[in-house]
Amino acid sequence: MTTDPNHDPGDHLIKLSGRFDLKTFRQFRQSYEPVLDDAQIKRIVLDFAEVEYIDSSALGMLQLLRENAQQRQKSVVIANCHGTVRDVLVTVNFHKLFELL
Amino acid sequence: MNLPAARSAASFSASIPLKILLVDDDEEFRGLMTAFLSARGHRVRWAANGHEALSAFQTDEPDVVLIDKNMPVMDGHELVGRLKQLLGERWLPLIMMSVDADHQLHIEALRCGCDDYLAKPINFELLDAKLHSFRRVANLQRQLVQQRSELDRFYEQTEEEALLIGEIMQRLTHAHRLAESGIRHFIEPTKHFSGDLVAATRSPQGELYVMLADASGHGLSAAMLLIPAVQTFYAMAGKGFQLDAIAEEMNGKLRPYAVIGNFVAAALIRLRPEANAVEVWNGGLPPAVFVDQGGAIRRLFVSHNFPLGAVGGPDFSNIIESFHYDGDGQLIAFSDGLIEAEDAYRRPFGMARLLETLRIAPRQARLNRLRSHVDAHCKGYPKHDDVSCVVVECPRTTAVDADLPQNPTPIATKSQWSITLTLTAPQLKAVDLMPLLVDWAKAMGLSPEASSRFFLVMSELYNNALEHGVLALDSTLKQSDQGWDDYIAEREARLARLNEGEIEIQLEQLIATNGARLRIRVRDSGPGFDYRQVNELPNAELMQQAGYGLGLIRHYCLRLDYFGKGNVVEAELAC
Repeated sequence: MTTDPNHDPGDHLIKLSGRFDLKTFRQFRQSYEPVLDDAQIKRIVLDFAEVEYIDSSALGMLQLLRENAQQRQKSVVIANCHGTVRDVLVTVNFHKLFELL
Repeated sequence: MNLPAARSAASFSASIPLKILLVDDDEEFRGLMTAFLSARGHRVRWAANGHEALSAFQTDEPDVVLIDKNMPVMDGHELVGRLKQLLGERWLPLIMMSVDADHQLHIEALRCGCDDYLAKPINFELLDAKLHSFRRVANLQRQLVQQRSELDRFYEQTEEEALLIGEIMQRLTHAHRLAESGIRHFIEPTKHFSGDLVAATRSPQGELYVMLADASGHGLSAAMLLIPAVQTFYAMAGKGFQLDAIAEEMNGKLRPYAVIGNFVAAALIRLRPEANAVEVWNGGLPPAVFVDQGGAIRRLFVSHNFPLGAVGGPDFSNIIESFHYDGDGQLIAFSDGLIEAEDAYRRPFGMARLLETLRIAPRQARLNRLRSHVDAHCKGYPKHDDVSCVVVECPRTTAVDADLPQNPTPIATKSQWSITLTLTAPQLKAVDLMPLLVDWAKAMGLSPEASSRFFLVMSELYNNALEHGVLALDSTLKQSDQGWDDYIAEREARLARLNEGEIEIQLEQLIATNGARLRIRVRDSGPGFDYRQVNELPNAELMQQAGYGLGLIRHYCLRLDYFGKGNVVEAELAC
């Protein structure tokens, strides 16, 4: 999971890869928690280009992030998701909760 | 004519009065006899000739008939013959009297149907003693006749009951389904109704389920055990449940019905033609035998389990043996009555003879050959136990199928494989299973697409088994931010403390006419849960609940089933 600050300064980019499940929760949270209270950041962008595997706990974790972000008037966007991962997000209507780029 | 020792009348013991019919043409003799017999308290009726005797006999049947041999018109012999006819199956003493003391005449009289012969002059003491003796016999005879007719009635009743039970069993065993299944079998019951039973059906997935059951006891007590057994079998096999789930359910159903000593020995067989595999659960029957085309014994499926109903929950073992065959063959199961059938010298037919018969007989004749060999061995001696046998054809199917898509795909995805892993506490703690399983699946040729779906489903099932089954965690903890931390911390803590617990995972890839499927089965050592609600809720609702998990898997799986206490789950994915 890498973060890349070289984007629109209002964006916080989190790049995930491989699996996105309970095992990666702590890491995931550490990647966004610091910026939650950063007033400059308006949007958290999750880059799913290299995410191959998710399970249902991933959905819970995304919801958690969204709640936290919304409380601080930030939005969450999921970019480059594909294949089964994209299919799952659409199946559970997450495309209505998160903008899918 | 000597006067009888009337003075010795006083020395005779008190006698029971008899109705005596005296047939003699000699008036004087009649007078004397009547006097004596009446003095003894008997009631005497006399007839002067055969015709009178017959009519007297019919109007008032006596207890004894005394007949003079030499009478005009109808002599003693003829009268005896007529009286015997009138009596039919009944009996009362017919005593012939005559002045001729010749032994030869005595013999003839006895041969013509008399019960005794007295020479005249009659020794009254002797006569009296004989009358008593005959009286005893007559009573016995009457008792016998009465008991015979009671027994006849009882027997008829039992026969009727047996027929009725036979009818019921016929319907309950779904004889039509048995006929459709294509297996061949025979049952030779020792009585009207057999304690042995064969049932068979196909699951929706096209697997063939067969049961051979041998209920202890006979008649009604055996039927009472077989009825719930067979109902459970058809219900569960018809839905494609695994054999161990069926066995466990049947055992549970039979426990309350079975009095100590009553149980059902059974073999449950599941043929999976697509996988070229046959599975056997054997509880208490002799070994089932897999024989190949040439008659060689390829595998024996020995009884590893208690018969159904014999033991309760914790002692009940549930061991299934499976066998992948590499060529056409037959699975033959039979009850112990077959190998224990004895000849005149009490020698049993035995396993050795059975295996030899199977080895020699041409494959389509094995069932009949076995039956006739057992009969020949017993040479008409009655068998003590029901003899039954079932033959299941196990044809080899090849993976190449013209209906499968022609796209070039890696060889590995078309082949069939299976693995079973059992993880106990130390491994559950230490092993990060999901990456290993996904790597395995990819190595077996699953596409990236299919691997993702596999991860989704496998992860869900494994984590449920671990977290809810083994660790007994409550997923509602995950609702809040702090909740996630707490949940993960609690999960880690419990895992670190874990001493006991087990998760068994089976993965299998199957080729069907409509493509390949991956079957995942997970069993955990936990208490399970009430899964009926899961099966009944529509997907949309299920999605809302419990963090999407089950709803998602159901969406992606061809099939999702829970078994047992809810601690066993099976899912199938297209891959």
